[in-house]
Amino acid sequence: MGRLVLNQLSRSFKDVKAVDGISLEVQDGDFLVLLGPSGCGKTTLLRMIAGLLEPTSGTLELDGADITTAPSRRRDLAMVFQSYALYPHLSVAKNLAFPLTIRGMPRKDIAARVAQVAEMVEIGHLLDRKPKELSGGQRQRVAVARALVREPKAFLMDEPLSNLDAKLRTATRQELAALHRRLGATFIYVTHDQVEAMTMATRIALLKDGRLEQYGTPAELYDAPASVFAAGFMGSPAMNLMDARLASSNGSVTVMAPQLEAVLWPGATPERDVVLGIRPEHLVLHAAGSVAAAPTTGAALRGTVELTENLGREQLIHCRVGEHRLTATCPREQRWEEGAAVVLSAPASRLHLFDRESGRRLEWLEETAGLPLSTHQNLPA
Amino acid sequence: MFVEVLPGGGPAASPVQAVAGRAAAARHPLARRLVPYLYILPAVVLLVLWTYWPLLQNVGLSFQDWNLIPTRPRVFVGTEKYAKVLSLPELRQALMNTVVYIGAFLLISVALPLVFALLSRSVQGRARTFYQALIFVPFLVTPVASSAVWRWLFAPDSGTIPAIAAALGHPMGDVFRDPDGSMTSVIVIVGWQMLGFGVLVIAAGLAGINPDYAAAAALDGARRRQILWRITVPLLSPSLVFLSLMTILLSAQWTYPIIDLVTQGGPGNSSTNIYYLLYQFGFRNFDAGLSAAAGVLFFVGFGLVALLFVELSERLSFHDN
Repeated sequence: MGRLVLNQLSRSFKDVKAVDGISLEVQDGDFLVLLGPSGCGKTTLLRMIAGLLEPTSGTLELDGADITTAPSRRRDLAMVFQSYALYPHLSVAKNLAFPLTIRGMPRKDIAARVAQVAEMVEIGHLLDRKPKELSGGQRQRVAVARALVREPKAFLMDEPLSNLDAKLRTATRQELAALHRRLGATFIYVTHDQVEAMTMATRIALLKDGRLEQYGTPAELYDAPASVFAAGFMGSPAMNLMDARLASSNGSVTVMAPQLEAVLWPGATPERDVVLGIRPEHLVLHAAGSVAAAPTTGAALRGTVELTENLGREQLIHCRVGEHRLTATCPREQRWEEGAAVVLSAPASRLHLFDRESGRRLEWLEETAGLPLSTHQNLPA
Repeated sequence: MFVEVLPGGGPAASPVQAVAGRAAAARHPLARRLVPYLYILPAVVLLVLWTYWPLLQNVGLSFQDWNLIPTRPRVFVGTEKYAKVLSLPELRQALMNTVVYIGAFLLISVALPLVFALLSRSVQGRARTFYQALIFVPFLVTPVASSAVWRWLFAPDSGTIPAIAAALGHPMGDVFRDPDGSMTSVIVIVGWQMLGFGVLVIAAGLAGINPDYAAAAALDGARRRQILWRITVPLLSPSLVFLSLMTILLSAQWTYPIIDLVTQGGPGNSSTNIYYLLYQFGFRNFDAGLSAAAGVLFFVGFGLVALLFVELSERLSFHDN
């Protein structure tokens, strides 16, 4: 079991609120990724869960028991550190045995368990070595093995892949995800890398300035970002964001900005300042003046090509639209000259709207109680 | 027809230029090989002049009979001086004393600083720096000055310490004239000075240990005491070995000025140590050969101890990364 409940958890360092009132529920077997830019409080949050930092306020429950002030050793959690923290004076075998020795497990059982785990992560041939004799990738495996050795309630991982090279990181990412599926245990994983979050997580908690920005599945975060920050953080190249004005005309909801017209759907709404978001892969380029350049619904943006970047698999077309610079991805077969006048279009279903003041996502609800647009507070239940 | 594609599409760069460059560099192989030795030459000259040459002279002196008067001849006497040194009861006493001094200082400047440094970890921020500085300051006081102050403190008629002892019902006489008290007083004075050095070395060692190890051990289920003995102390062992080595090798030197200023090795030979004895042989009894022979023996003895510790510290060195 490993069901973790965070309730209004906060931590301040002097005047700085590193973690500010975070509440979320991690179900048993979840792979939760704490995601965010550096300084967002994700490591502080993990260290509070681990018991290495005491919360300033709020509570923490593990399988129904309040562990807010319990010492680390009583929490039955295992952690993989960014530095791996392999005990440098002990051999790999003794590093793996350490959590079991401390618990007073009989020697015979320890040896068997160590051998079993070493085989699981393929480090059986390294057992007699000291940590300094291992490569970065091998150290990472030993660190994971030491966490695995005693079947804890949950695994905590603090950027465990950040010290590996790109190729090894991809391979290890897949192995960790496979390990999670095989064990069915709760994982709580800190990273600033959205690719790691998207590929491994069953749930992502996106943090910004110590606050929870969005909590959901990777698909939810990508397809329906709850805020401008979430929209800009998830996805590479990043989502195009531009200021616009929401209005209605001729019985339709429209979004207007210089060089931009978008007809969304039938309905009416009070005017409102918004931020419009469109992912680069949802923008289609047309030559200005062509028939396809005048869609009846969806967004149409007029601009000029500023720069093209060849990524090999596809190309990025950077266009100047009014005062904004938008990026579109398109197949390499299309040829776009720099300076060419283009129209970028996107279907209405692919447009994201955010309130400009609060930054929160706006969702369209079919007319019920007269408030057609509501600020979508995508917060945990 | 297939044509192999070269990187960049052009022909491969000619290797001729690289070879020519290498040839130029190899023009003066002797001069090139000399350069590194020129860099270390000043240090070597000074070491030879001030350390190795006197050392050799001392070895030569240990086989001669001479009373330090330049006009008197030096007489070669073979190993006679060594035989004499080894048969002297004073030497045995001084050696025993030195061992006791070393034992006491291992306690005061290694074990006690370990406790102090570990305890001072719970003091946070500037208070800790201040606290450690406070312990370190005595190390900066010259032995002559501190001896003078301690002599006043221990003065039998007006000193603070005898006054307090008398008030508590344990009157004490002149500790420096007391065969049982003189050595203790030297240990107290030198220990008071050396404690700070030990705390400094161990605090630096502790600061160099990544806190992740203790955190990892805590999550692995270890109690504070288990973390201390299984993680912190083993990781600190290079510092402890260094400090022990310094204590063993240098305690005879640290005590020398205090012995000279406070007890002159007495009463009798109760507080002397090997270096003070060596000084007495040479410059009180004017027996240069005897003093030199004793010096050679101590040099060899301490050299062996140093080798042992260097070997030990090699085995205990970890890369903390």
